[in-house]
Amino acid sequence: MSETYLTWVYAVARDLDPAILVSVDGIGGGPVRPVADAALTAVTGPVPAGAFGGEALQRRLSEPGELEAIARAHHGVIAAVAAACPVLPLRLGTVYHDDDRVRELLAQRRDEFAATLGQLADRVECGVKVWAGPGALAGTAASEPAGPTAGPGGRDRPGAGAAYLSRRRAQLAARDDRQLRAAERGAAIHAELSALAAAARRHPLQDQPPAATAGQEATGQMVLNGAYLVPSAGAAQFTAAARAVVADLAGFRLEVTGPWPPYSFADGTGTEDDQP
Amino acid sequence: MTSPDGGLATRAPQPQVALVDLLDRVLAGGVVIAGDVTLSIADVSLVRVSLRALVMSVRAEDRPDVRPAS
Repeated sequence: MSETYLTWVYAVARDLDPAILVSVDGIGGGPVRPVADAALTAVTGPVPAGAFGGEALQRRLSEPGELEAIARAHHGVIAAVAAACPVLPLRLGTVYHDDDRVRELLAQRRDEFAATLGQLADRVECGVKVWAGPGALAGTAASEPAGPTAGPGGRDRPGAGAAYLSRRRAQLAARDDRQLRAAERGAAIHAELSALAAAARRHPLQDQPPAATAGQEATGQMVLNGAYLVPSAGAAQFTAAARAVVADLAGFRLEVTGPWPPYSFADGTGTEDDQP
Repeated sequence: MTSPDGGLATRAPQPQVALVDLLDRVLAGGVVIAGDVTLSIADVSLVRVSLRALVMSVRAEDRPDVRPAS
């Protein structure tokens, strides 16, 4: 009853001491193993083919509980390696038939991996999310009508329909203004933070919690979801600087996450954004 | 997580990985390599969307189900 296994690839690392993998749990609590090729090591683990091949993997990733478990295990391995040596995380769900295929991959893309690892060495990723609180994106009083203004019996007044349309147009215009200002603020803050980092990326803005759609004053509107590549020793300094940038802006709130392994910079330190 | 306080940029750093931030990275970051087992990117995107809904509902309940970043 020998079960067939596939090879899950977590990351590619440089100068990895394979001994650190012994105490690391992979997906499903499985082992984590090095597949080495010269100075580069693919960090891999066996996963059952029946559960992780093709459609089975797709199905698994479609189930939120499974996806969360896999995502956390994938991250756990990458974070453990990142604590020890330069690491290039692989996109979740990179699976090969066997270790020999992984060796082929390393041989084929050795130069590219080595170059990117060189850019990421001794650097970490800090995540910065910024929200605009109530009023932070409001325009002038004239462009922000304060709700219905028609008094009792207003409906019966001649021209009430036109007044409604005018009011509605103003409301929509105010909302557009707010979106525009949110985008401008997000871009401006991103530019300031980018100047403090070796490289920067923007992730798509995260959805509002459903509960917040009726009460955005609780969470605010997200205007920036950024990732910044900074020296490992400079993460605290970057965090403080980021807080200072946003502290100058009335009504804005930020959250810094990380330090993360350099997930968002797996293509190196080029400056193109994930989103336009 | 993002507790609704009025602290504006004065809160302590969060030493925890929120699922939504993790998914931003493991599903959209990392080197993309065509392995032997192919995943449809479109389907992964759908996963991301449906999972986000779950994450948000969890977040609304403020479940402390997160663990250290590294």
